[in-house]
Amino acid sequence: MTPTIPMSSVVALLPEMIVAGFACLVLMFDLLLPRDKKDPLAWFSLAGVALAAFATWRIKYAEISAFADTFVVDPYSNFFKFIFYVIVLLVILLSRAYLKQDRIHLGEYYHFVLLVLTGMMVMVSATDLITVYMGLELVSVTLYIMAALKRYESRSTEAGLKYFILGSFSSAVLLYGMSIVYGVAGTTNLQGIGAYLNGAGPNPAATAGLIMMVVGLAFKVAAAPFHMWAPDVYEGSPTPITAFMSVGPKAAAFAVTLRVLIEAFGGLKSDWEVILTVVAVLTMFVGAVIAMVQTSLKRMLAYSSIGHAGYALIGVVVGDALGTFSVMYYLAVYAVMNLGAFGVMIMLRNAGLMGEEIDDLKGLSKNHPWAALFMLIFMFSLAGIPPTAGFIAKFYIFMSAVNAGYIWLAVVGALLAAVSAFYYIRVIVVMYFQEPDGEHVLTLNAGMKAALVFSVLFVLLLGVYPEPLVNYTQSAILNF
Amino acid sequence: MVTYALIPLLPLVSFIVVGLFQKWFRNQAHLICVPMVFLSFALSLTALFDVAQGNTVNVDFFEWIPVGSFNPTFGVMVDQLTASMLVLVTLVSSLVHLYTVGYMHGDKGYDRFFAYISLFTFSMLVLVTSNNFLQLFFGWEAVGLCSYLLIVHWYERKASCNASLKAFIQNRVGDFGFAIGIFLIWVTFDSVDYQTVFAAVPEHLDESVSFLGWEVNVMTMIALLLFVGAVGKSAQFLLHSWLPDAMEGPTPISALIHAATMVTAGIFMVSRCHPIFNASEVAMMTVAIVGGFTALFGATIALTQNDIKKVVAYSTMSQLGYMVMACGIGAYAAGMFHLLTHGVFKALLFLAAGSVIHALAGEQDIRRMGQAKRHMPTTYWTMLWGSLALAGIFPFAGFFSKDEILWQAWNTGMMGKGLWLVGIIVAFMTAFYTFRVFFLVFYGADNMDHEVRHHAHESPKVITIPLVTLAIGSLLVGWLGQPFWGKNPVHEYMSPVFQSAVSGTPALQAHATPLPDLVTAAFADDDGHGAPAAPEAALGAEAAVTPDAVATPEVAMSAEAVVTPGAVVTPEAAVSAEAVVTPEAAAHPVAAAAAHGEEAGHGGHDKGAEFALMALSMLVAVSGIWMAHRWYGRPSQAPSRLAAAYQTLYQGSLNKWYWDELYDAIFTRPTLRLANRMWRVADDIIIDKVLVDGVAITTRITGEILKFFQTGRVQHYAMVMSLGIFVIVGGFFLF
Repeated sequence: MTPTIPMSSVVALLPEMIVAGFACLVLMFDLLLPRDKKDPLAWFSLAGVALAAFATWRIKYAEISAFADTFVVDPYSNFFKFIFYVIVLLVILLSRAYLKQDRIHLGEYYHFVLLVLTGMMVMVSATDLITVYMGLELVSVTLYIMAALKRYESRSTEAGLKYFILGSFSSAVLLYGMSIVYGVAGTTNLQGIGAYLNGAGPNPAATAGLIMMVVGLAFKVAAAPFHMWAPDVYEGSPTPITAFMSVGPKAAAFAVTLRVLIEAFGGLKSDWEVILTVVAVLTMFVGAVIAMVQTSLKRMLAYSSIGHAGYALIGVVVGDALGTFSVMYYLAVYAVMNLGAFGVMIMLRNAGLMGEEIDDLKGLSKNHPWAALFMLIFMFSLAGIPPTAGFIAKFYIFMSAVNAGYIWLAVVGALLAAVSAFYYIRVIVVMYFQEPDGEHVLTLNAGMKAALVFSVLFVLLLGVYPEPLVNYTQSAILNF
Repeated sequence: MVTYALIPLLPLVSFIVVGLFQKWFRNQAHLICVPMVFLSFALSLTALFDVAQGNTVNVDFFEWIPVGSFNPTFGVMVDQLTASMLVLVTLVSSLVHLYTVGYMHGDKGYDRFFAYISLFTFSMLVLVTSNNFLQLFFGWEAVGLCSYLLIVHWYERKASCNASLKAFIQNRVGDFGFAIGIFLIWVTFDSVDYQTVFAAVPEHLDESVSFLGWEVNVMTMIALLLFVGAVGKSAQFLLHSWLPDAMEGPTPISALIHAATMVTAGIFMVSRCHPIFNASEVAMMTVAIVGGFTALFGATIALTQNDIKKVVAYSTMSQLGYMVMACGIGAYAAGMFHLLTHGVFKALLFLAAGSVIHALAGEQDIRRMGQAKRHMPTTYWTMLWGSLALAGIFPFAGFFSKDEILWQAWNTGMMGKGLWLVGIIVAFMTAFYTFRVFFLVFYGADNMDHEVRHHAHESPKVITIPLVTLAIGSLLVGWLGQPFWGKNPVHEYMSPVFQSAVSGTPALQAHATPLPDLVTAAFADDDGHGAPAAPEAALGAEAAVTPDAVATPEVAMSAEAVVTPGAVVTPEAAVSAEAVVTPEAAAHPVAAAAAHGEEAGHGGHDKGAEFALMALSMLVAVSGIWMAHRWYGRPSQAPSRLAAAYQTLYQGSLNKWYWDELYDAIFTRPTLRLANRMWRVADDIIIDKVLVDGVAITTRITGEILKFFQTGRVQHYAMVMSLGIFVIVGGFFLF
């Protein structure tokens, strides 16, 4: 029997194939370009992303199941793919100047970015444990390399190594969980597992497998107590890569978590909701409390990113239509505002200044009022203060929790959000109420300007008029 | 209609322009403000004449804040009551604007001052032109705010700050009641529109509301709550002590806000809401008694004060009491008439006092004045006219309006007789203290400081012109309400307001039948003017019979039993009058008296009585002046001997009957103690130290501890992860 690949499967996989193809082409073209002239690769990569986005656009609301139900195209996966396209667009625009500054403007960088994008796209479309793992590992392995991109700096190589060791550990745990589940259910298909678990009674082995898988996924989203790699890796990696890691793979991991938990383990909700509640509270707590005592802006943003994972987990715990909606909305908003904050940090990087300490921002408002204003808007949005998109996003999370009866969870979340407002506002205080030590020299090009203006407008407009994104998100939630 | 809207808007424009661009004016703000307010005055005059021809206006300009069925509008209502207030407010405001140019010359807050008096004028005009309760409340609060801002004009002075706070806080108390009154109106009538509410009064006469466990008639409750607002704004007894202190503000403000206009808002409001007040005898009695008592209370204090402005201030309080008393006996037109004349001559007295103070370099103590006549002749003459008007000497304004109130009181049963007696005593005191000031300032011993005397001078023209204008007004304005021949013009003018269809409907009359004996007894006065006049009232009432007033037979029958204030309708009257009984005639003594003119209300017999009473009150006033002249016209030991003989009384009056001290002990100091306690314990310790700092420190320490685990070593991280897995799995299967 000759296995045939139906045309529908090709259409479904077309965006991934485009991105992967461009990734390979980037690697080849890289050889043609001189050492210091890698800019064309950036535009070439963006062209690939645009093409993929177009391909995805064509099947925006389609429901295609491909490759023997291991891969699916549905509005849910497409929603996340669009987020990823935006993330990659912003990351590429924001990173060129920094990479040149740090002499790591290599062709491979774009190759890696596109590979991670491919992996993330596979993750959100995966409907089989094997495809889930494949996407996950493609993302992880590539990120290990990216973290160590600044080979000559020990901080960066250390980050890459740590990430690799701990990531492998967590992958092992995840795989272990998957194998147990397979052993119990006899299938790796998510729907199949779901059908089996609904039919069979409670099974401790299935629960054990579930816990292992949850732990593995919790590592990927950097949820406490499996978050400890995150601050070190985030701090050590080159800043644009940190920015990328803190939003893209995290969003993809959330997408997978939601799909796996709801489609495969919907019947065990009472089990995973307990675990995730504890994890969510712990994550929010760690994110809020440890960030307070950081002096490094980069590290603070790392903890802040942990905290945000905690808020998104509230939506996962809720697990109903509104909960899913709120998680998706939150991730979309978080991606843009967090990239914006990192973008301002990247701007500060110049020959004389790392721009990674909070004190480096001293008096920024006096030297560069616009940069300070942008940072202020991103900080307000991260803190969840109206009229920014961050407020609306938090509002939906807490609303979904209250609606589903998790009132105390919403209360804890709101209180910890208040605590976390402290360190966001401290950044503003430093920028606006302290005198500058010297001149800030901004590293800025047209692409960065465009990316930052886009982020600010996104944050502000969705803060006052969230309707369009809300409508689109609602049309893309998972089927229940 | 547009012109009516312009009346309040013009001062608003000058406020906005001057307020926003203060810095550019450099003490020339009057160039905008004065013409604007004079224009406003001119428009008000046209309104007055328009309305006199029967063209009253009531329009809504736009919906203000529609919320569900609550749909208040912003509009203008100009009827006789409003028109007369418009003219008074804009007239006094114009003259005060002019006066301010001279008085505040060189003050560093000159432009700010002009901005605020323009804002005040706007607010007061909104208050009087409102056609619903919410807009009334807006104006009511806005004038209070302006009063505060202007009292504290010299904000570097501690006394000004305290006085402004006192005024503001005491007014809050009144406004609180007022606001609840409006809420209750909304709850009861489902509307805040004047016409809708007043028309619906008869339907709600027997409803009651629960208040602290008592069932209170809803009309009584609303009327009393609204009156609480009037007590605050018009400085009636219990909420009175802010008014004298408000004299810390510049004198033009005392004249404009604290004599002529804002403080009369309470009387205006009660008159405006007379359909509600008429529906509750309890409320009316309360109003009358509070007013009478305030009149007496203020006068007793004014007797002994030594600050020239304080005397005039207490006199204002006393006169406001007169007006409130008039409202309480249903003599709204008389009350409004006194409001208008008082507005003119009291503004004059304040401005004249200001002129004296201005001339004597800020001296306000009348014991350090004297013989000022030769320094400032114009001020002398105008102040004399103002004092004569206040004392109620024929033919000055106060004579007419005061006697109108006294006459109405005399005709209002036993309680009215009591109030009349109070009024006549107050009239005596008024004449005495007014001329005590007058003689001490312009005659008596020359007690001025040498330095002050050296510089004493007549005030400039911008000050004297308003004085002369107001002095002429004090002479003439009273004749608008002359009672001697023909119809009383003021009553004629006001009558449509106080006997409109909604004021006294048959339902109200029918309701009036089972009134408590107390009230009927108090008001039933059959050998007075009511009974004999009634038949004529009913028969000769063609002029006053409105279509609505054609009573149904049912009403006519019920009218037998109606023993109401003023006109006692006998059975014969009801029948012989072919059932044409104006309900108003039964409901309102004033309306009856006013509408039916001399033949009916003031029958021949009553005319005699009225003239006799007039002569009596003249005699009382003259003797007051004579006494003041004996004691203060030239140096005399009599006052100090008397003060020594009646130490208690003298000290009581001098110290305002210790009311400030009482409030201080009951409210101020306990509140401050409580606030202090709250600050030290609740704020400082519990909230700041324990909660805020505590949370911050705990969080920070937790952060530091957790940071300690972030060692940077991979094996530690892996260990924590493993532990996490074990704890979760273990915990899951154990619990």
